[in-house]
Amino acid sequence: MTLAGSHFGVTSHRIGSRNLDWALAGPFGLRDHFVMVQPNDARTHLVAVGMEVEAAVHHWNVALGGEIRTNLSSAVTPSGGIALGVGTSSSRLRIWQPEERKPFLKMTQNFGGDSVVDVGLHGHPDGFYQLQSSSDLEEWEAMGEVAMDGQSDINLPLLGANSFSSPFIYFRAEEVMDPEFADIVDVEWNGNEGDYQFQVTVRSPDSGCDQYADWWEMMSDSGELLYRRVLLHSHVTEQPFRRSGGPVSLEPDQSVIIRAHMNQSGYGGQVFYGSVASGFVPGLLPAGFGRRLASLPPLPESCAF
Amino acid sequence: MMEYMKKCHFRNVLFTGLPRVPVVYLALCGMLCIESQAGRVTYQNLDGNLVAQGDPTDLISVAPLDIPLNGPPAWLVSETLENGVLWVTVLEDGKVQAIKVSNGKYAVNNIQPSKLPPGMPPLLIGKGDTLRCWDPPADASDGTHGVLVGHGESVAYIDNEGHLVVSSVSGAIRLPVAALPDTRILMDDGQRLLMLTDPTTRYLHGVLGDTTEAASFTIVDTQGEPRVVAKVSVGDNEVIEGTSLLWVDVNGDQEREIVATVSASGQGARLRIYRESGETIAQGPAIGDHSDGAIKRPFFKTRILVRVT
Repeated sequence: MTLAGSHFGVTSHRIGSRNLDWALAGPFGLRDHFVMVQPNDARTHLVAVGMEVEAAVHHWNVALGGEIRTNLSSAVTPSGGIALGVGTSSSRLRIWQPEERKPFLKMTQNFGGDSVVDVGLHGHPDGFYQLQSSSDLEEWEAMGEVAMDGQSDINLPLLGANSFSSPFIYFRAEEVMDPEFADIVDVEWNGNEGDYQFQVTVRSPDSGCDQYADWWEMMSDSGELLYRRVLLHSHVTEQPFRRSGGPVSLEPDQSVIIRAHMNQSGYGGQVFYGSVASGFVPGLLPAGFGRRLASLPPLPESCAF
Repeated sequence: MMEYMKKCHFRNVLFTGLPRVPVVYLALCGMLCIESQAGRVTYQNLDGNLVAQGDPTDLISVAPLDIPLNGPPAWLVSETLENGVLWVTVLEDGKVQAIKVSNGKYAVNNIQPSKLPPGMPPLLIGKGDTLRCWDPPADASDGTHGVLVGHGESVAYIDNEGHLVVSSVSGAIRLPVAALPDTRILMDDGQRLLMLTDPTTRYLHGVLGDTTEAASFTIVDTQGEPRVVAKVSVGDNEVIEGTSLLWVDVNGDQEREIVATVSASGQGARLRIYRESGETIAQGPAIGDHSDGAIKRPFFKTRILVRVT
């Protein structure tokens, strides 16, 4: 080994201390360069030194507000960046942690029982986003669209996640200017076992009979059609709109999925799922889930306007 | 993309796309993914490499947050939460404080145990709401902490007599490795452990607060019956300075090498790279003699050492 570069005026240790983790390297130099961060000799500042072609180069220094006492510690922030922290002689922690400004996708896996994957959109600007999945990063299938309006976080369970056959699945979210799909945004119900009435609120990008939500329906979680409420006209100005349907013969604890259909683009928006006993919550379905139901009766015969 | 997917770094997110069509990618590791259960340490990575994980970040444009503590701090560990970072500090008197930082705000969190033996570095284990510090058993050396092995079912730690103890619900196995009382226990991806062994006082530099340093390092395989698989000693007039080695693939041969700070009286400290078999493959010039400019701890990416993340 030969010495490639030296930088003076820094230290990574205090005589007498058993703390030997006073330094840290990472991609937080200028222009995203890889640097090593450690205290100056006075132990009052952190100094970032990078290794360029022929020499060690100073990048930046920051004050600690006291003398360093702890090791440096770093963590990955939820959006993937780096946070840095250190404890000082003034009995404080000084933390550099970037705020979560970048929009990001987050996913958690639930391996218990029903193989549900939660996919979340966080920090995205208001608008419509299409969630897509792929097993090879080349072909992407739309799973559904979700709206961010006035909220910073959305978490949606992806129902039937075990229908993904590939061991690796990628997700991405893409902002869409003109939403295609109809979302279920609320579900209410009344009635008794075996005879329930549902009031379903739908938000859809209707423009007239050429593009409108033409039904909402209820299916079992195995994909069997239980009930369909056909809509007779478009809702261009009344958005979102609520239409009731029934009677539906259900057991109180029977799991069902409620979704809407567009005359051109078909299924693909936010669904509600649950049971009368437990209530209904929003979620998404994998692309193509229960697609064959679109050809089953009853089907709309005409569009009034 | 494939690389980070294999490593199960869910947190990394890549951005591409046109200005009006922001696209965010995320990978899901399916059932093949086993997230490391081994815990968070003050030296960042269980192989001893002090390298931060995460995407490039412009830290100097971030306004620092100052968080008052109940006393002077000694150690700091941190872990990602769903919507922030949990910072856990151990004060000089051993008291543990946890603080959650999220979007420029902080809040005090509960953490167990509330106190560690003074001086003992923390191991942060669990995730989310279950994050806690490793609670040392009564016979543990208070100069270091254990590591979780076997996907968290067992713990390996150094006891007061220098044994390596591998303990699980089915019992404990004690290997008489003559560990340095404050050696950090490093771990590779195959559940092997690397530690400093054979304490000696023959090098009277004492820069680390005592005069006891290691004369060897030992590798223990914990898969199956725990057993010593390698032991390498330095020269008769040399010691390995510090509390930790660095266990990374320095030369790109897909095998981990061991980087040690080796000191000898009258010469100061130098970096030396060993194969696990004990063969020296390179060493650097001696730097300093009894000066604070000596090398205390090997790590880093330069042309001397290769960055291995």
